[in-house]
Amino acid sequence: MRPLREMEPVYVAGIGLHPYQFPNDTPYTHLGLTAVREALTDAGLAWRDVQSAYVGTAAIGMAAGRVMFRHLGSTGLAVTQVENASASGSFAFRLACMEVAAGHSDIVLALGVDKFGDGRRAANKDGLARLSDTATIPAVKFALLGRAYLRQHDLPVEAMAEVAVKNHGNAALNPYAQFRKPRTLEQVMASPKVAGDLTVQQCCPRGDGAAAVIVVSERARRRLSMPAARTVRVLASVANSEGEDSAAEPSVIDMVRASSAQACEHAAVAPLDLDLVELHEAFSVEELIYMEAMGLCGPGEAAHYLRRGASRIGGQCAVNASGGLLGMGHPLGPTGVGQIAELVRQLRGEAGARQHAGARLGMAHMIGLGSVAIAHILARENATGAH
Amino acid sequence: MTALTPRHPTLYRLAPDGSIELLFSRCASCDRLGFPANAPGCGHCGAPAEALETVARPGTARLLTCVTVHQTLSPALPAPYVVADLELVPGVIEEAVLVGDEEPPPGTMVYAVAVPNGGDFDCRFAVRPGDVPRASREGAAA
Repeated sequence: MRPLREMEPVYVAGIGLHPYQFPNDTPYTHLGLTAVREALTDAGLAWRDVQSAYVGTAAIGMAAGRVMFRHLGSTGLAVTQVENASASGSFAFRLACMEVAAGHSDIVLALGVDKFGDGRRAANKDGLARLSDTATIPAVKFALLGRAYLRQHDLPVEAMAEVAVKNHGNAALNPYAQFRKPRTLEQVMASPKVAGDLTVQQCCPRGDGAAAVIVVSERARRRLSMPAARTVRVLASVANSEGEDSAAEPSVIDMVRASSAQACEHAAVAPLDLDLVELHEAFSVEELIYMEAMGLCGPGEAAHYLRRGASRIGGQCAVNASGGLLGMGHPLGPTGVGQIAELVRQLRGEAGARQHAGARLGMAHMIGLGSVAIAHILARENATGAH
Repeated sequence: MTALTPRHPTLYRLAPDGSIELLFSRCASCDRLGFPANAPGCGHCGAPAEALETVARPGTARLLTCVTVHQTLSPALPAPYVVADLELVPGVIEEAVLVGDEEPPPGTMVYAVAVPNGGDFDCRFAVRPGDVPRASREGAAA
């Protein structure tokens, strides 16, 4: 598989979001247009400059793009809707990058937008019965995974609850986040039990929102004299899906390991070089499991890494500086694009109170029902183009 | 009990001795078992459904992990209940529901039991063979 880095260079030139929020009556068009307009302003571009748009959404329904974009002007651009459950936005971003990397387009939009409510899933339409009525419900799957992980490494239940404390603390500093208040360990542990050791505050919320990024070619970057300090290079885009389950190890873990390892390989970086990671912690324990699978620390060490502050903003590698799915939210379509926006903001040095000092290299990793996984690596480049 | 029908007849059936048998597919191409029996292909080697034949196996399984579900996440499964990842046969892992409120340790052998549910019976798993939960005895007597 040819690394993205060996194709035409790809940059993120603009980012914009509508805050993630609890389910409400705001039409998705308003959410999406807010994010797109903010991204265009951020990039110094007009809508007519955008040649192609990928719209990641899991729940809005058919043909969301044009219904929204016509209010920016019917320019005739290519519009493609992308769905991969929770990873819809990440895959919209991947396709935007690939279109630019292929030399096909110079300026492409990746937008993630969603409304809560219509999460029908194909797994319930496969004509096959199941022994458990909750076999397709992620909360149960991750409760089982979490119990096995805590037992395997002889960890207390507080070890995973601490993830929620860190990420709510980060979200409190993020004006686009759904949650804006820090939470204590006592609050997280005392919230109602959902399944296994997961309490409500260790599970991502329902919500909606939007996130947009504009991807450009080197040619466009030069033609439009975009400042190098504000364009962030996309070094790798890797996607995969689960292999067969085994009693030895849940297949999701190997899927995360393989996708993140290949992304690092394609970017010619090592996991320990990463300054920032945005990952799918829809359920608190996932952050611990995936950090280990990604090689940020050794097996069974993620809880200690967290406890000693290494995954905090300002630590060795800031994990979910945005607040993650627990704190910033998980409106589905927007989530993966929001991860990219956070990395871009951090790598530009524009993250304000959330700034992870010296950030040069970041990875965004998402998972979708199926399961599928996707990893992107972004880097700040200096004026000469090196990173 | 024998008057009741399986809620999911593609997954399990009542054996002549009154125990529950699980229904697997055996693949003519790779000889491995798959679950459920009526899957449209072999999940191990990809052979089409025509290569699969249905075989019954005793309803025993090895428990890998279990947790209590505290909130009702599906209307068909009111909380609380105990859910488990079970290895039905080597290489076949399925989520299933246990009877009772115990959380057995990993490695425990569990046994399929029929639990009446209206005019049908569900397949749940119990730690002791022949375990029938109190509610189902009342249901059967009613």
